[in-house]
Amino acid sequence: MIGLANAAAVGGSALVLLVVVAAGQALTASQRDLRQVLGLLGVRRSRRAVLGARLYAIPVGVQGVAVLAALVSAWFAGVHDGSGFGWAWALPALAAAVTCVALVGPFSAVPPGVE
Amino acid sequence: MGARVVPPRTFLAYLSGLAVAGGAAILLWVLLTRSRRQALGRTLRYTATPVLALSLVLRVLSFSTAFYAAGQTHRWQATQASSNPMQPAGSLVVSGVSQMSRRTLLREYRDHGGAAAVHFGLPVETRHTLRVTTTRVVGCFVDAGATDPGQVLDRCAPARSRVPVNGIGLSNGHAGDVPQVDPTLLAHGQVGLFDFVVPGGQVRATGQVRARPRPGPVGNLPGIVVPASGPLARRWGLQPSGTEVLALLEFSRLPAPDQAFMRGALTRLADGAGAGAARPAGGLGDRAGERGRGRG
Repeated sequence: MIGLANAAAVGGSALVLLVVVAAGQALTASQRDLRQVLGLLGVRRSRRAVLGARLYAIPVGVQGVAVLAALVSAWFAGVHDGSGFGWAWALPALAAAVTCVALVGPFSAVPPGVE
Repeated sequence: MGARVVPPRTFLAYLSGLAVAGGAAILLWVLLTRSRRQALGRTLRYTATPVLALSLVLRVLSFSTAFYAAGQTHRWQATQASSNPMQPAGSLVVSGVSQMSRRTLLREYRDHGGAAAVHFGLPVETRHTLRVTTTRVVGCFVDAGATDPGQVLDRCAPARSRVPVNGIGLSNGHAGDVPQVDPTLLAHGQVGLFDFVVPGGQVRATGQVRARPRPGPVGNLPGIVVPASGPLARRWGLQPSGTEVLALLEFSRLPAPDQAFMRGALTRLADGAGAGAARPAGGLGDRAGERGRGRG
């Protein structure tokens, strides 16, 4: 039972990671024009990073809320005897947060040949 | 085995949580794409629209994963907490394991240095469930005109019994063998029986039967073990379900790597079965199990 819970958490987190990486790469590629324009306008890298961070803060925040809501929902559906919930539930949000932070860098970079 | 029904409370909790996370996604999108600078605000909204779609998809994935992981862990811990006081010290009890998986688990347990183990067949309990108790509890129940044995347990249950109303196990013994029971339930060579209706749990019938004490561990293992082909099984309509309860009594004596191997084997061979490991004797709670107090 506990093995199944941990396996589901690891599997779900891996899936989240894959989706975030794929979608992040797609977003970076699809916003090439915007990144190019920002580079041509001379917007500083730190400002571009703030733009990327604001964008990626949405999925990170949603993941945080989602796993906390899942914990509260599991508590509502549970037996209320003081038994714990482990920590495996936090893995998907952690995977999404780490991946999103890593994706801010490529998003804030100006495409080659502009700077 | 029939389809597993998700309780309405679990379903509603799942849907509510999912809706909250969805609302949070939209709220965050609105808040994080607001800007006093018009150009930046437009850029953010334009760029963040696919990010919102991504967030909504990820919300379902993360929420479902976290809900399942938290729920399963919680149930496992609750089962451990409720059963530990009743399980034979140092044992690993697996309930609802198939005969084939039980044979494999037992072989691997012995290959890894374990020796003492017991196993009992479990009867079909889809229409009614037979439970064993003391004759005194049955007498109190009848005299009080109670509807639930729980109403008389405080007064009449034997103080030394950890499981005053316990489940039933089937053996392959000779049909004429006298049923073997948890000695703490035995009084004057007899034990009491409750037959509960399923579903509902009302007492359908009560009875008494002659029995003899069962040597070895008791606790949350079946309180009475009757021959599957014996007269008691016929009289009360006990049919083998094909599943068993297996107690690996020396589990805590195995080295940690072997315990880990056995837990892995359990997940591989009988993940749907309920399992609980007890602390070794002398530990904080020296007993444990899966089927629990009362009707099991």
